[in-house]
Amino acid sequence: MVDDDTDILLLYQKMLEHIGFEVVGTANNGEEAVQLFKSFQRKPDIILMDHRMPKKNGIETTKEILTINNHSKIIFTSADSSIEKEALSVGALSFLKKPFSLESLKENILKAMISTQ
Amino acid sequence: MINEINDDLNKLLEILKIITEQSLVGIIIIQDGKLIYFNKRVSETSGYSIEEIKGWNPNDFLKVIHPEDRESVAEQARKRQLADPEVIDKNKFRIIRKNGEIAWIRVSTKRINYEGRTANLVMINDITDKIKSEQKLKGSEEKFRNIADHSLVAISVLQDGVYKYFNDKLVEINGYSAEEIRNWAPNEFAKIIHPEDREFVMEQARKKQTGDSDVINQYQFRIKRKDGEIRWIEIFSKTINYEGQPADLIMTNDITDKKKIEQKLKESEEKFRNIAEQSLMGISVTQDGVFKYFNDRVIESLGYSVEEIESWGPNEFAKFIYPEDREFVMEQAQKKQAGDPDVVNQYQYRIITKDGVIKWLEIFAKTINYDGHTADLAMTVDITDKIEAEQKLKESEEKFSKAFNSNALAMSISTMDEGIIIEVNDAFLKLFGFSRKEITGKTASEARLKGREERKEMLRTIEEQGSIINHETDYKTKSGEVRYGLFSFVKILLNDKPFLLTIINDITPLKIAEQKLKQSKEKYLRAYNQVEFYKDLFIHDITNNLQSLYSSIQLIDINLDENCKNNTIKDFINIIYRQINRGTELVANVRKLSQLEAEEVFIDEIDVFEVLNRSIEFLKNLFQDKKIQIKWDISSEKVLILGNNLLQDVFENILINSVRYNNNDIAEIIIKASQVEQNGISYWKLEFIDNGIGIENERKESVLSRADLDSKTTYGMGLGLSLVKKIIENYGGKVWIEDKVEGDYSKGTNVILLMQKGDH
Repeated sequence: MVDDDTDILLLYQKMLEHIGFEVVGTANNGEEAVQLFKSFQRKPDIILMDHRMPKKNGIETTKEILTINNHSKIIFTSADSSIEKEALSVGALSFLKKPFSLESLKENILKAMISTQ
Repeated sequence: MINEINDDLNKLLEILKIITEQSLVGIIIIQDGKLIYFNKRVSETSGYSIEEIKGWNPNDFLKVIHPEDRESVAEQARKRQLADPEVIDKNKFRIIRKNGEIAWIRVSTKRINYEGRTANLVMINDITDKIKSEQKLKGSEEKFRNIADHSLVAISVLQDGVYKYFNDKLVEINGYSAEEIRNWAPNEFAKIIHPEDREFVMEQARKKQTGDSDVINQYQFRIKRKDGEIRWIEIFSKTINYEGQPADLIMTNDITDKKKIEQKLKESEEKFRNIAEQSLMGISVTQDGVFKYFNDRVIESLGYSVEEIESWGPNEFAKFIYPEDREFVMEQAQKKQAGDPDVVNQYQYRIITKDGVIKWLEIFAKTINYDGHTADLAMTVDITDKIEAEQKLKESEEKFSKAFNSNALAMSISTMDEGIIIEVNDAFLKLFGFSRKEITGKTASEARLKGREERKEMLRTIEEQGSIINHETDYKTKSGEVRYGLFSFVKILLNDKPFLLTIINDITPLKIAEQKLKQSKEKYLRAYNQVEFYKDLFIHDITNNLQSLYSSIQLIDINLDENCKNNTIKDFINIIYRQINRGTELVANVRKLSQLEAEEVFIDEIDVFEVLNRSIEFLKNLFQDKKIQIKWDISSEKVLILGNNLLQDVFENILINSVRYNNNDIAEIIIKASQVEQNGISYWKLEFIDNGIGIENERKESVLSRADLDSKTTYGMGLGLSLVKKIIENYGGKVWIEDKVEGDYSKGTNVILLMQKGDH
């Protein structure tokens, strides 16, 4: 999970654990996220990516992660829906407009899991 | 018998006497040196009387003989007395009559027997008239021969095909010697005639030699001289009687030089005519008041036809001269036709063409000799365009002068090379603070207006580009004040000399205003950026707050034991959910409205069904516990309108309001589409008809504007409908609200969008 708001990261983790997913790592900005991703022996099944973050935004981070592993499944989250098109064009699998519900998150993750990308 | 014989004899004697006395021949009988007999004719011939002659002895006859002939006559008389056999019986000589006249006589002397002795019978014929006639003829012949021999015209007589006579000139013309010509066989002369002319010439010669009257007496033809040179000759010939037979008298003139001159003259005339005909000038020759010659240009200028001009009577041409110029032009024309030297050779005047058009002509005219008489040779040029151009130039110069002097813009005219200011207008003086005397005659650098180097650079640019327009620069006035101006430099011609026109548009006040505006803009931009920064920060952070709240309340809702949840807690949890949703929508709308106001909206063709389906899906997700019924009233398979990605926000806003402000168990929404035309523009009319709580009439307009933000009692959420209006108007469309049932707002609302059709 990548987000500059630590409260959100904690809440996401609780929500995901509630619906049965394991959070393997969190990052507070894009640079941390790329480094963390590189450090994983086994790459995570899903990445939850915020857009507006210090140092490196979600679009740039998505591009770099997909350059490292183009099979990565990234769910983009942002309050700014105008970024949706760009996020999908750089390789994000879906877009979740903040604030989103637990149900929406679950649905997007499940869809991503069964996606063949 | 004897008497009869005597009678006969006497008659015979009488007859003889009559014959001798009446004879036209003088008869003298001389015997033994004595005059025996002479008749009356001798007296008549000599002029002496019979009595005077009777007294003469034979020697006395010598005194009447002309002194020059006297000796030869005496000689013959002596010989006759001596019976010299060489004596001449017939002789002719002159005598001097008694009255002194000289007469020619022919004398025949015959020895006769008279009275048994030898005597001389002398017969005298007065041949004076014959001799005179002969002498006259001889003199005439000599004269003719002399003339013929020395004539400058070749004279020849052709008879039986040969030249019976020819003079030296003929030899000179054909190049053959007189000997060769004399030796020519009959008709051999044909060889000198040019083959092309030979048949005609020989026929004429033959006719004239035979006395045929059907002849041509004068003609020209070519000969080939002995040396091969071709020459032109002209002959005048006629049949004459020569030595009793018809012959061809030919007078031949070598006209080769004349022909060459004629040819040159002809060519010269042709050249002149050609030049005249092709000339761009009108050329005419006027004599005795009429046009003797005029070229096509004259016809073009006047507009009259050749026939019309040729039919004009003397001085009728005056009618095409402009009335005010007529007297002068006619006087000049008449003077030149009369050869008067007191004339004006070049001037300008106006004519009126046949069509009534007034034209200006410039004339160059002089007296010439034409067909032996004085005439007026006139060459005219149509200068109407030039005159009009001059007039326009004059007007233009006047306009320029007026525009220059009274212009509100400062202007100066300076020399190109030295940059000496020769003229400035009042605006210039006012702007720079100089008096006219202070600035004229000085250069810009002397007046400390501009530097020399700057001027050089400017002149280079003008030479390359022709002008400099609105070059912004600063300058100093007389007082040293620095001002700003747009300087335009244009190269102009005054009296064919180049000058530099400088136009200064003082923009100092504008510049100051610009600087203030720039400062204001910078200030505004800083403020705007600051607002944007705070807005972004706000939206981001508030969204994260909302997300945290949303996630938290969901986790509370999940983790809180169902037994612990009483109705009050449940109500609070629902309030929190609703407020989170309201906050989320508010943030989204603020973002979009701000975006619409700040940027130019890009519009494209949008498929309404696609967008509606996404919006409805969003709506149903949003209100999962609410029954929503969507009905379609659209007959077209495809509805294309002009819009962009914000259209989904429009639809979502309208649909959410229809559900949110609806107290029925089932929220019904009818979506209707129809095509309309307004002011020549095709629209899709989209209607969203719900069964919600409705909007009072007095609020139907205000809910679409931001002015309604304060009123949240009923229909309308934050910036929702004002955002809809803003977006639709950006698309070039319209939005308004009506009641579902006209007159009863409480039955529901119809939100109507009028949106421009897409291209396809």
